[in-house]
Amino acid sequence: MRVASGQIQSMETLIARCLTDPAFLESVVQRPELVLSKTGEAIRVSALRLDFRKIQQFSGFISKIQHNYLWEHFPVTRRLLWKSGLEHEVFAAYRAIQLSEPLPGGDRSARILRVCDFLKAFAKTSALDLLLCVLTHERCLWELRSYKGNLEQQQKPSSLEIEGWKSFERRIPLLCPHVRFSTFDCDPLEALELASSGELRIPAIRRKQIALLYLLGVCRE
Amino acid sequence: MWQSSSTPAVGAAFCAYIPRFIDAHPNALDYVEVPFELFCHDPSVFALKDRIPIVLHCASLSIASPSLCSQQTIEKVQGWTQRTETPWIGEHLAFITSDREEAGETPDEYAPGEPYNIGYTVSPSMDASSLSRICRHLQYYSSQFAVPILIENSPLYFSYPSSTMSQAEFMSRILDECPSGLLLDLAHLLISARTVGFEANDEIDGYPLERAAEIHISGIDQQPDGTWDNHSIRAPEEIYALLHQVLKRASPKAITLEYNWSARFPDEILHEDVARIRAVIASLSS
Repeated sequence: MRVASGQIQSMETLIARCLTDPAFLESVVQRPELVLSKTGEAIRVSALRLDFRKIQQFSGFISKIQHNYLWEHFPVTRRLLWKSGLEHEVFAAYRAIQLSEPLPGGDRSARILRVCDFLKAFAKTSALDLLLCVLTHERCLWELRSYKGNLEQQQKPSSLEIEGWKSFERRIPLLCPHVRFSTFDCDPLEALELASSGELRIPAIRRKQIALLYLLGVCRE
Repeated sequence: MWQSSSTPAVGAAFCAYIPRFIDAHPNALDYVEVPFELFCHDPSVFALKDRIPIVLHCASLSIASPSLCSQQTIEKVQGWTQRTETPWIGEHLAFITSDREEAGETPDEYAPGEPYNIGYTVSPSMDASSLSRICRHLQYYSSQFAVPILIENSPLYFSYPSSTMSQAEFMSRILDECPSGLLLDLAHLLISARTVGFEANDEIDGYPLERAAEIHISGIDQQPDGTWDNHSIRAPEEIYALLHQVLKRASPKAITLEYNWSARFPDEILHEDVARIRAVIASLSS
C-alpha cells in the first residue's frame, strides 16, 4: 500500500489520487492529519477541511457508472442495491478490486464475473439474503444467455465410443455448458417479484432447499 | 443546419439503441451527440454520419488538469472534429487526469502513461489559481481547433474548501477571457444546487446564458447519500422548469437529451421527451 502524499502539489492531484487509489483514500478518511502531514502547507490546510467520506461515495459512484453494462443483465440486483441505498457503498468497496488487477480491455465477461463474485461475498457477509438470491438467479440467466457454444452439437451425443470399464470409471460427470444448476433457501422467482415491486423483504425460507435447473432452450421447427 | 435555423435543434446522446431509434423515428432527432472517446474505442459509430449530423462531445482535453493533455490527444480530437464536421466541441469544465509531471516512480497501474486517470470528469476547485490555469489551457486548445469549444458545468458532488467562487461566477469569468461558449447541463446544475445548498432557479441567472450554445438534459437520482447524475432515467419536472427559464434568456443552437447509460432505455420515452422539448421551444417562440 502506498499512502505517502509528499508528491501532491495541487487539490486536483489530491482528489485524483483519492479517486484512483482506494487504499490511499481509505487511509486519508481514517487518519487525514497523518497521511497529509507531508503535503505542502497550503494544500494540507484546505485538504483537511475536505469531506473525504463524500469523496469515497463519489468514488463508488464513478465505479458504479463504469459498470453500467451490468444492469441490462442484472436489473433486479441493481434495483435492490438502489432501493437499499447501498449502491455507492458497495461500489466504493469494489473500486479497490476494479483498479487492482486490470483485465483485458475487451473481456467484459471476466469483468462481470468478477463483480458477481464480489457482490456475492458482500451479500453473504452482510446477510443480505434477498440480494444473494436474486443475484444468483440473474447470474445463472446471464451465464446461459452469454453461452456461445453450438447448441445443436450439445443436444446430440457425439459418436458412441466403446470404452473399457476402467477408463469409463475415471470419467467425471459434468453439466453441459448450456445448463446451470443452483440451490436456494427461498423461491428466487418469488424473490424477483418482490424485489421488482420495490419490497426489500425476503420470501419465506423453505425447510428444504429449492433446486433449479436452468436450461438454455433450442428452437426447433 | 446549424447556421440556418433560428430555433434550437433537438438531439440525443449516442447509445447502442440510437441507430434503432433513428430507424423507427427517422425525423425525430436533428443530430446525435457522440463522445470523442467512443470514436477512439469504436470507430464504426462514425457510420451514423451518413444518416444524421454529429456533434462531438469530449472529456479528454481535461481542461482543468494541472497540465495540458498530450499532443497526440489533441491531434486525435482534431481528426474527429474534421471527420464529423461537428459545429463545436463540448468539453467538461473538469479534469479527468492529474498529474502528468507527478507520475514519478509510482505511475498509476490502471492507465499506464496517464497517471491518476480517474475515468470520470471531476470539477476543479473554483479559485483564482484554477481560473488562470483553465483560461490558459482553454485559450491554447481554442487555437488548436477549427470550431469553438463549449465548456460544460460539471456536477458538484463535494465542496472544495479552497473554492472562492460559485460555479456561475467561475464560468462567467472564464468565458469573459476565452473565445468559448457555454454548454449548460441542467441535471448537473440541479445536482450542484442540492450538494452545495442553493436554489437552482435563482442561481441559473448568474451563468453566462447569453453564451449558451447547447443544453443537456438527463435524469437525476436522489439517494440517501446525495443527488447523482443518472442518464438511464427520465429527466424530472424540475429540469423542464429550468429549461423553460433558460430559454427565456438564452438562444442555444442545440438541446441534447442524454439518455445514454442504458441500452434498454425505452424508445417511447425518448420520443416523448423530444416532443416535449420541441413543445417548450414552440411555446416560447409563439
